[in-house]
Amino acid sequence: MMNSRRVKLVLLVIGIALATIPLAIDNQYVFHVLTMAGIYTVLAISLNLLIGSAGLFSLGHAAFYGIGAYASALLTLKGQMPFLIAFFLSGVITAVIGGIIALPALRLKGIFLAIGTMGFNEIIRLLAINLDTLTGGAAGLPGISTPVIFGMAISQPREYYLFAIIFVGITYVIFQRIIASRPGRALLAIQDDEIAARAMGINLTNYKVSAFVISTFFAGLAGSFFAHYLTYISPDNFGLNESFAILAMIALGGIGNYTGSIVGALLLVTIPETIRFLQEYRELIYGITIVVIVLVLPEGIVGWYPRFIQRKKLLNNRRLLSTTLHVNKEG
Amino acid sequence: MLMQQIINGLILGSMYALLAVGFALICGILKMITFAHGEVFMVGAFAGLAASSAFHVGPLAAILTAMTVSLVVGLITERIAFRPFRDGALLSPALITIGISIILQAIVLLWVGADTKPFPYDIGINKFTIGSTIISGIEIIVIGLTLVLMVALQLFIHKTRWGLALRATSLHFDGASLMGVNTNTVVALAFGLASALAGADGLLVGAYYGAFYPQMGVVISLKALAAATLGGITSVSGAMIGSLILGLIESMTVAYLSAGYRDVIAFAVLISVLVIRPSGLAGRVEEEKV
Repeated sequence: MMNSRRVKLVLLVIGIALATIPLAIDNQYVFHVLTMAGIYTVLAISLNLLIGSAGLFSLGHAAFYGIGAYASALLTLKGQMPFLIAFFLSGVITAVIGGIIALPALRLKGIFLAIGTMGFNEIIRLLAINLDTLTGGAAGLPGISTPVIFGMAISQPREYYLFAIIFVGITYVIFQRIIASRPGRALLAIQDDEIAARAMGINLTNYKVSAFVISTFFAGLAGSFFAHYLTYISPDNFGLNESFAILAMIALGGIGNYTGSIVGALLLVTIPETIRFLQEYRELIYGITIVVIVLVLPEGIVGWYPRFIQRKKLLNNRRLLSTTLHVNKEG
Repeated sequence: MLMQQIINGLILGSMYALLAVGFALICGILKMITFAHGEVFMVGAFAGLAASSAFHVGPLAAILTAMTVSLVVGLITERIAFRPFRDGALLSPALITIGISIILQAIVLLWVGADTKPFPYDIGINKFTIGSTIISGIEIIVIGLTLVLMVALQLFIHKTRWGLALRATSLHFDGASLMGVNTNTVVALAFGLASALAGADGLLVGAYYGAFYPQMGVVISLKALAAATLGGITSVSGAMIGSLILGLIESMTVAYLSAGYRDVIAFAVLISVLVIRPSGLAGRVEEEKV
């Protein structure tokens, strides 16, 4: 899937280009859109580990995003903790809840897991509305402090943007390392055939729970950053629509493809912004985009490229037939 | 008091049931879920509303209009989102139906605007009083019509050749195909039935609450999906039972615990049932083959 050297080079170029944007442009609106794209990229990459690599069809990712956001907001507002500690603690709290949810959730297969996690997402959103002494209820939590890291205050759009880039970069590298390692291959084996994987000595429960824990940890971090970026959160930010949007991002980029998740998140965050002038037609175009891309490129935008290369190779070299056919299998 | 709550529960249950059996029909055959069912419901509701307010048709004609329009939208959804993906990929149909639900909401929003529309006229049935329990005219229609449609659906599934084809395809898709069942037609049939019922439900729910708005299908379809899953999402009668259970749980929660937590309790029950019996109360337990 990765013809790795070229991909790395392209990524490096894109990374440098993104990092130099602040030198060229100083537009708060552009920074805002790109920062939001960064947050969604982390969410998409982390959900991709569950859906794309482990084959766990979870539709409740926004719930974990929300748990992280509320945890971090409350830790700083009521616990007076500094940002960095609250940031990591909210990740840990979310991961613990993710692990607890994972244990029963793993009894569920396919659509039942999807429905169960959707139910969980609704429960979290409704709890955020109803536990109003803690969460501020439907009105949300205002006045969350802006981040301060080792005495450096982050308050300008440009600074948030740089933080987002570093956050995305670290997340991306970690997930690429995970998926290239033995546990990553174990997850792929589980996705392909659970029984065969078990026969090979792979402990299904351990790997699946670990995938949940890692994935929700990063969703929690993204939530924390979101809370301290907007300084205001409300239950509406973490509904099922958000979960669906994250799912759409990884599907547009290519299931199981982490580079694709970046592309998908960038596209789905920027498309509605660039067609802002169409106002009332935005939602319509957004919906049509999702339908058309899934129909035209079922492998996703980035997933499509390696498949194309493989086809060409296939014509040249028939021996590749057995090894390439099952690469881009959809979960 | 208790009697009144049971009536409320039955009404809620009826509203969920008409949507939930649709999920069960579709999921029973395709083993996939549609996320556009709430919007098929909403489009039907608005079609019925338009028929009654613009063309002044009677209630029966309004219901039939709602069912027809929903049926067409449902069949289109099946064509776009499910027909191209018979290989069992879960994600593509899920995403396309999410896309379609966004599109349908956007279209209706552009057409009628975001504000809530009331039902144009009073349905001329007087309310009943049994002891201290009051049943209004619209409540009788909701429960009555649901009952009629459910019985008709059960008769269709169990007494006709088409129903036999539905059951066979639900049991084994490829097997039914090999036995000469045109499975594409059967899938379309399931979608048609599910969508028509959703359309009727849309008009009923809109008239009952006196509120038609583009997002009216979002929450209720999620609850209906929960109800269907509760009963075992591949079983039509399971979906009916699940809906009644969910309706009763909700009305009891509102009456004796707290109105804010009705949905929390509903989804918590769903998750607990799933954890204890992963295929729902009446669902078939699919054995894993090596």
